[in-house]
Amino acid sequence: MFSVPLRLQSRTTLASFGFYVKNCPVLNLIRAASAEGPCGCFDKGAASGSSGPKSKHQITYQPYRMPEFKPHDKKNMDLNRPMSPHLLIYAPTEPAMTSIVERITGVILTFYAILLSCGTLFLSNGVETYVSIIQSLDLSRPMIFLIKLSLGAPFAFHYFNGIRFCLWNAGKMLAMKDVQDSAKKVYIGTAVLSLLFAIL
Amino acid sequence: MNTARKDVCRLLRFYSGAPGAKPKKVQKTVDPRRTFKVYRFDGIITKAQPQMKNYDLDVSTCGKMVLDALIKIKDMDPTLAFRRSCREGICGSCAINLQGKNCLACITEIPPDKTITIYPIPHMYVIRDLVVDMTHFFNGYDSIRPYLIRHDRSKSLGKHQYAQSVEDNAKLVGLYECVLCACCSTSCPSYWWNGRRFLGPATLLHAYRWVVDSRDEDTEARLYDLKDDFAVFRCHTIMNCSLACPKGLTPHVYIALLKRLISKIDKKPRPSLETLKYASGNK
Repeated sequence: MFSVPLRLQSRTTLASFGFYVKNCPVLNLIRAASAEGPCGCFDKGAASGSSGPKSKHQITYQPYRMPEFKPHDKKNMDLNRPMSPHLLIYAPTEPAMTSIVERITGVILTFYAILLSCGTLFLSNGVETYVSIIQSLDLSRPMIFLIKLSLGAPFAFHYFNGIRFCLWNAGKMLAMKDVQDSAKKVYIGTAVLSLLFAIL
Repeated sequence: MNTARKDVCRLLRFYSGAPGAKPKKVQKTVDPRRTFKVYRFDGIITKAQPQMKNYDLDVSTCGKMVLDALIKIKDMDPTLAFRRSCREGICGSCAINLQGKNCLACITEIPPDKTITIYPIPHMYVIRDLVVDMTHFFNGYDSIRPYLIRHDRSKSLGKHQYAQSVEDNAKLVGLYECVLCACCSTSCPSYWWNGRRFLGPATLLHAYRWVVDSRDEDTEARLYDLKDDFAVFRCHTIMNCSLACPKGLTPHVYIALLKRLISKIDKKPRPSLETLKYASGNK
């Protein structure tokens, strides 16, 4: 049994679309099939499957319905598709590593700033007491050197890389060669400045 | 007349750091019998998990590009699925992640390593083996209106030639060659984390290409559409994109220039040649 929409496509309407109606093989098939139903009886009435047992070789035509729109993630997660590996397999590149270290040092510096500001605001004794506690620990000279180095290095790196970042935003030094050269200069500057912090 | 184009080509090589005059490194000789570790996923119909499969291949029996090796592996194991079309780096179908870096399989030589690892491009939903769902990538590209827009009320599209000076055309060098392979976008960690709202280096390269085209008149609307926190400004100049581009383009340069145009620090210059110069019988 054919559903209603196809039967409405009479030969005249198809001809009005400019279809070459006579020898179209598909149309012949449809014409032949609509002339004699699959069960061998000519069906002129409503196209509902009310006559006899439906054979499983019946073709029914439905109007095309677009699949419902789903956002990309929802569609793929509903389909249970895996995500291709990213962080763990991508080779670390120098600019990318510099960029992530810049972000990490930024977080560290923010932490310093919050620590210092909250300390001055909320500590009842004042920050000086904590400074004197650290002094009274009486650490050895190399130990102090290492601690000051590790506390000052994030600041130095973030500072010099920050200059590099501002230059990029200004449109300068964007060539790959300049990017790599400036990275080397940043490392040297970081080493020098953090040594300076550690020694003073 | 060719000097403008030559200058731009020189600038492109300069920006991308292509090895112009550097001496070629001596290739270390490796046994041609290599092991290819390929990411395999049999599709959502099977309930299997993705895994890595090892294939032993003698690379002297196949062509020297990675695509040749993949085809040879497919001869051994016909269930391997990957996209490919032109075999010359112009269609952008065969983007893969080789040894941790994105590239086009058809124009990348098999590296002189004993073990060669092949993954699909990172952070994309995998349909089957190395084939990924690129729908959101192309949707992002479509969203920037990648076609010429002229404010032409007389509907005389296609009737007149749009004139463009050689200098203005040279500005498009390094922009039009993008094949939308998605190597750059899928190498960008920012695109991994914000891929639905951040447009990614490939799309931004094309956005800049249409903004800077002297024949296009819709610049204000284009820049306005890009003026939010996510479309362009999720780019943190990580620069993985230019390192990954198999065509040697430099998206990071153009994204920086695009950011300046959006924030109105720079202005798009007027066309140096009147665009409707050759329009006979004006409107």
